[in-house]
Amino acid sequence: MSRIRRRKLRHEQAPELNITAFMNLMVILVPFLLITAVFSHLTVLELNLPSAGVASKNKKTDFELQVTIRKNLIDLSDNKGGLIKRIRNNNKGYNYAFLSQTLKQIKSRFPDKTNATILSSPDVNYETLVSVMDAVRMYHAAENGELINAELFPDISIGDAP
Amino acid sequence: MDIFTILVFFLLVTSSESEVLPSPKAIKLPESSAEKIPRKSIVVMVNNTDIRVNGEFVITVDSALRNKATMISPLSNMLKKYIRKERSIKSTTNKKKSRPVTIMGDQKIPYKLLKKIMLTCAQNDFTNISLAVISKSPVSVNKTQGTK
Repeated sequence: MSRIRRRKLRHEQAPELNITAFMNLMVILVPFLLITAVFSHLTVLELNLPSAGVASKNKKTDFELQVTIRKNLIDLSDNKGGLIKRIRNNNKGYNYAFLSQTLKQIKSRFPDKTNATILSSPDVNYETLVSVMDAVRMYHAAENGELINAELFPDISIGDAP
Repeated sequence: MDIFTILVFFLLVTSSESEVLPSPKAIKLPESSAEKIPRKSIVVMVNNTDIRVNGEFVITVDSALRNKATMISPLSNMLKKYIRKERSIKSTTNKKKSRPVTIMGDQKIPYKLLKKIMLTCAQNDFTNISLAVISKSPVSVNKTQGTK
């Protein structure tokens, strides 16, 4: 467009659009949105307890995975008390990576099983409990550069360690 | 333009309130890879010093732990109060149903305290327990697992 023609056009239209106020608004809006943006997303772990008074009738014959958290080790066992694996702590604390691997092996042997019981000794802290629940629920693996979440034992119940 | 500014602010503030759980300042939640979105429910907050229900002080952690009983009776009373309030609003039948409750606990609280709280909740038919956690991206999980 030639300069002469542009000048002519501008002359015919209304005076230039004043966007200063709008820009002001944007300048305020952007920091405001940044402040309110959620950087730590809150989510929940679902846990279903049997309601009070309902006696739990467990079929004792089935295999039932039990994960026992003790002071410095994690025991994997079945419901008859047979120890499957004892996972000792490494120098960084509980060895979740190894726990995850072992659970993966157990899952491959019992693919239909979805429930597990986590038994905890009284002084185990909440963070550990949640981390173990995470490891028992699912595992993350990179396959062909793509992250997958594989389900392990998502129906978790919690109890006291014997 | 000024009225626009006010309007936009108002809308933004009201929309950001849709966050269901209060963001806790004094509580350091544990990290997890859970992906469920929290629902609206009664929130039991536990930090290192005291237990609160919906922000209302109930009992200190020390006295809750010192008590040998399996339940925390002040917490139980508080939960009962909420049940009564809910009944008076909805005038539901006294049929037993499982109610949802969200527990926001600090990373460092011991399991025995958590157990007491969960037992107390379960005793008052709050059996649908959600544990609030901060979600961490699965990528970082993978990284930490890689560096074993």
